[in-house]
Formats: sequence, structure tokens, C-alpha cells
Amino acid sequence: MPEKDFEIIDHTADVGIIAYGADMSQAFVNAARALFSLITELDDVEEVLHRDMELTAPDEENLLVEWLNELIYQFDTESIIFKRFDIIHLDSTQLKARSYGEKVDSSKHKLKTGVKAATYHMLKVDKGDGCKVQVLFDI
Amino acid sequence: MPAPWQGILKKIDDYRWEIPPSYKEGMTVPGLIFASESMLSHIWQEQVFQQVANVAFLPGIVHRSLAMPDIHWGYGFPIGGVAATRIKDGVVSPGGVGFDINCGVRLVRTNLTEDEVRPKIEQLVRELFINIPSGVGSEGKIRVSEKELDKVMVMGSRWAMEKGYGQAEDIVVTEESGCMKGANPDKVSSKAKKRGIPQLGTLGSGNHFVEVEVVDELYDRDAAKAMGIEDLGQVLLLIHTGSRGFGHQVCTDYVALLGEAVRRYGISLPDRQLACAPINSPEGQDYLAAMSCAANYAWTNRQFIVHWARESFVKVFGKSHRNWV
Repeated sequence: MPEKDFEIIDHTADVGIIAYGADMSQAFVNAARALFSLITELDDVEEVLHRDMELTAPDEENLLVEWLNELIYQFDTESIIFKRFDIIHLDSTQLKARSYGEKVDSSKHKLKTGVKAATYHMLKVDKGDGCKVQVLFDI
Repeated sequence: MPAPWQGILKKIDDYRWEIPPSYKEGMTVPGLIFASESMLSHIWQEQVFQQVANVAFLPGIVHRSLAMPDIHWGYGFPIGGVAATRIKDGVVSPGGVGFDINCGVRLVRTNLTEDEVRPKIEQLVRELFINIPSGVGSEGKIRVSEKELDKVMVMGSRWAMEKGYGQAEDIVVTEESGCMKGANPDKVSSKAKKRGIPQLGTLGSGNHFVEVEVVDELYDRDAAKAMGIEDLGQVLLLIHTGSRGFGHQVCTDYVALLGEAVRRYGISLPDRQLACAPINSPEGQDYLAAMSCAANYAWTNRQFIVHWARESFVKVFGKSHRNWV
């Protein structure tokens, strides 16, 4: 089990992440943290509001893409940066989570990368020894 | 050492290379790449050529799965990939249109010369930055209601012009007159609409830009003249943006919906991002109606930016609008 929670991988004009966890929930949480760490510096973000999400998908890989795309959607429409994620339920087709963060405040948040979507390319959910997930973002 | 494409590509002539259907079981037509040998050595990446081969699986594809010289890796389809499908029994695939639906450039000419612009370039760039919302998370200066957004989706550029953002000539020189027919907002998810509202009239981030350019070489004087480009030293403006999160959401929604259609119509594909449906099916027609909405959004978006760029030039140079086309 690697020590870090996630790593960023460069891929041509896009950027990918590999996130680790003792189980799938933790890997999904770390993938979400990796996503928002691409967008801004998470240390500058406070937990002042939360959003609940319930998602379904045909399998774990699709569920991971849905999860990340839902978070991108919240950022795009409500300008919310999330930094903490509680996964309340996760199986191979369903996810229920509560995510905490705050609205973008240009005086304290420096936005780095605009992420348009999580893609299906190079998508992997590996539940071997611990859990490892990989996703490529269109930026 | 043999070239890495040895045994994969068949050379037709100095600029055309074929991927024979035997390369991958399921290809219904060959792939065709336009490139010189030295270009190939730069663009070669087997994964990209796999994508060219994958497009050749699409039902109803005509003649060849084509790859332009700028070919590079994309999502499902390669970027720079071109395919035509038969209307009668072919498919439409959102991935082929792309995520940023109607992403494109608009070139605006000016009557200004480099000598006039250079001394004021800093002021001009500052003015453009202030006037044109850009960057991650930026919001537009215009706030439309959902009802008005429906009009944007149906009318395209003309909507912006009627609101005072532009002049009639702008539309005359825009592709499709800035409006694709057949747009139906009912076929666009409310999620896409919600993403579209705050981003209308924004440039975006990534590779999108507004660039002040100067003509330094004319390769084809007649073609240049047709576009109002007369002389060396003439200043032009190039705007590159598209349908922002709106188009992205339309594409995401329909890749998922058509992924189900693929199963329903018994289509076999090597990559789920090639998701497609017969052109004449309800799913295919719904996608085309939503795609047209996003195309019209993109033209409207570029129209706003042209208008603000024009205002910026007027502020700095004090010339009238008529100095622009």
C-alpha cells in the first residue's frame, strides 16, 4: 500500500490521477481530493457548506466517472470547491456521499486548472491489494 | 531499424498511408492517414492509430476512416479524425463531434496597422482582459434565464445581435449564419442548461484564447483579400472558444444515453466512447437536436466576445465600429 493518497499523471494535453485507498470508498474519496487539488490549493478551503449526492451507474468504473463528474458539475454551476468527503454507502452500482467545502472566493482561492470532465479513457478501478483507481480528466 | 509503423501502415504514396482492415477484426473500411514520412515519425503513437482503426468499426461508415496530418490522441475518436456515415443505415456518434461542440475560431479584421497598435499594446491587452471574462471559474457578464437560454439555443448569434451585441454583418460572415436549424431545447438536460447559464459570454480556460495578430506573410493574396486581409502589417484578432460546459454536458449526457442505444441496436464497438446510434433512430435524432443547441450556444458565445473585443479596440484607439468587419 503506497504511502501517498494520490498522484497526478501527465498525459499529452490532459491530466490524470491515480488514487489509493484501503478500500474502494477511500480510493473514491482520494480521487475526489485529487480532482479538487488540481483546481486549487485545498489548504485554503474551509468546510462551510455541504452537498449530498446519490448516484447509480452500471459498474464501479462508470460510478467513479459519475462521481467525479457530479463534483465538477457542482463546481461549474455553484462554484463550490470541496475538500472533505464522507462516503455513506458504496457498492459496485450505487454511491451515497456528503461532500464539504465552500464557494469560490477569489480573494483567498487561487484557481489553477479548469477541469471539464472525467473521461472513460484509461479508466481503471483495481480492487486487488487495497484499492487503486485511475482516471483521466479533460482539461 | 525499421520504422515503428512497419507492418501496420501500407504506403500508398508520399503523403497517404493505409491501415488495412486486416489490422483489427471488425473494421469495415480501411483507415487512411494523410502525412509525409517525416510527419509520421512525429505523430506516430500506436494508440492513436488504433483509434483511427476503431472508427472504421462504425456502422455505415463510407469509404475510409480518415486521419488528418494534425492527428493526435482523443477520447474514442482521434483528434483530427474524419468519418462520413450514410444517412440511410449509418450512425451518428457524439464523440466524433467532440465534447466542446462547435469549438472553433473567429477571425476579426481591423484597419489598424502594427505601427499604430504596438505603442498601445499593453493598454489594449489590459482592456481585452477586463472586458472578456476568461479563466477557470469565471462567470459571464450576462445572466440569462432558463427561458432566454432556450432562445439562445434556437436562434444562435442572432439572439446576441438582437440584444445589441454585434452588427448584422457579423452574422453574414459567420458559418451557417450563426444558427444551426433543428435545435430543440427539450432534448437538452436541465443539467446542461444549468452549466450553460453562468458560462455564456465567457472565453474559458485550457487552450482557448483571444489573440492580437499581425499579418507577416501572405501565401494566397486572392483568398486573403476575400477575407478582407490586404496588407502585411495589418492587425487581426483571433478568438478561439466553444460551447463551454454546456456542450460538454450535452456530449457527456449523450455518450451515456447512446451507450445504452449501442446495446439496444446490437452495435459492436471496440471503445465505449465511440457510443453511437443510427441517424434515423429516435436517439440519433435527439442527439442531433441537442447538438444543434450547443452549436448555436457556441456561435452566440463567440459573438459576445467579438462585441467586447470591438469595444476594447474602440476604447483604446477611439475609432468607429466601421473600422471592423
